[in-house]
Amino acid sequence: MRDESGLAPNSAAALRLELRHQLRTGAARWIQLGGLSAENPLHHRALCATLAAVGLNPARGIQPPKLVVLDWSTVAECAADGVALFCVVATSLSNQGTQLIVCMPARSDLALVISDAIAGGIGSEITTIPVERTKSERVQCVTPSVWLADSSKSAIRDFCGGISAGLQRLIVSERVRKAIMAFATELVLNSLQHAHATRVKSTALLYTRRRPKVVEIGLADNGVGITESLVTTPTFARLSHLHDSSVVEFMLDQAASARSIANTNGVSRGGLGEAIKGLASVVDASVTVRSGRALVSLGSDGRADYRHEAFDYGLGTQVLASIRLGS
Amino acid sequence: MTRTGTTRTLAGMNAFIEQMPLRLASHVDEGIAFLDGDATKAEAALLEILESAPPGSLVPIDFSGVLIASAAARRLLKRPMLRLRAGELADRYIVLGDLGDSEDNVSIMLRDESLPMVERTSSGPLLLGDPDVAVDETWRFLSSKSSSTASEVKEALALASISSATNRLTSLAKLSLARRVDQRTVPGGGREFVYSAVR
Repeated sequence: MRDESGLAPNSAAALRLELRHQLRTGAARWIQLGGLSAENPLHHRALCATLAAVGLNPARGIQPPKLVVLDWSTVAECAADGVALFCVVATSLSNQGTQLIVCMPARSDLALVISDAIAGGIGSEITTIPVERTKSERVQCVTPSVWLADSSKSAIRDFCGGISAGLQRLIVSERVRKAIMAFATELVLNSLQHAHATRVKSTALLYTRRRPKVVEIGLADNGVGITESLVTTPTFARLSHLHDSSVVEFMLDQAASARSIANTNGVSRGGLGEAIKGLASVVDASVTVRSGRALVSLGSDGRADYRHEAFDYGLGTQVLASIRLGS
Repeated sequence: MTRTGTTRTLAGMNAFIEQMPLRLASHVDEGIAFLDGDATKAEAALLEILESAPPGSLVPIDFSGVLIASAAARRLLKRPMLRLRAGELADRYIVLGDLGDSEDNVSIMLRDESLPMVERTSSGPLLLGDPDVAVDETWRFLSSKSSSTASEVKEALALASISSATNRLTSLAKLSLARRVDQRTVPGGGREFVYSAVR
């Protein structure tokens, strides 16, 4: 990556100019990262389609490009699940032999969050392009993001312990802290237990300027997704003809309600659903789950406000809990 | 586990033979128990203690320094509790302590498995696992006293009959939440059992 003066490009615009030929021929792809979080279904749908087009959907059989530019430069905000998915996407691209260039965010606070995520390791060949920074202090990491897929206990301890310590610094009540910790713990457990993922990234962000303050816990993995994990068990095989979104909603509804169809067969109703219910009972929180082609959002009452979207493709699973503290 | 300044009556102390706490941290690698397999060693240690303990034993489990998720909590507690309740390990009891940030995770598992258990907290004993109202109400009354009988339960909870109170206490004992510690004669004839709550 050298410009005419022999220097590396120092902006997204300069990089785009330098790569114009490769971008035209398809040897390079440019991905705007605005849709990483599942918070905005429209943008996320577009991003999922782009990810399929760069070879991350094996069913499509598309030859991956040699170079992918992951562009944060125009992104003002990204929720915790988006930051986690960024790491999973970057690692997946890197693993398929694609060279990566990351254009860093313009906002200084988001740049710090992304730097932290990159510092955790996202592939072997990464070039970062800094951009002119705008000072901003709206968001910060509650605790450094971590990779969890190797079931490393120190990583789990660092992440969960970091959230607990962060909540104590924020003087969150013990009742709320325990509910948040239960959610975070069960979220990590679910991913380790059911996702069959090689990469699981978790992040926790704090929005300091919002009133009340908001904590986000996000997780993304490259696993098989909730549907695949569920329908391969005999109890839920009958759900295999349904779309991912129906299966995910069914799973969350069963878990969050008192009706248990699974418990009698020796299958647990699921700690995550119970933890979501517990979280929503003590604090204003919403949870968004995008798993495979499904996107399901639960409102603050834990189950009554389902919204679901059906996509054509989605990489692994990502979960976002947005928790309004003090509400 | 037994906090400084906690006052317990002699009758209450004598109701159970309190064993040395099982320190979970000694049986869990790096203080993290998430997956089922993470609690295998701890479950084996707990079962060994329960099997070797004399009747009337109360085994505290000390969770301090351990973050436990529902799957590992299920492995640790489900089989021992089922063996206690089935009578295979009759007249042994378990109490949880210092759950810290894991309290909700353990509670989720206990609710999921319909296995109410007692936690010792700084503000007194707490019944986890969302038991039904009758169990909760009876245990609360019983745990507020060193010991009690069906006639006292009937009166305190304004129950219709002595048999209702007896059934409630029997249910608590079957759930390993209370122990039958004595029996005494009732004025006018007959006898009644004296129960003490796990706390």
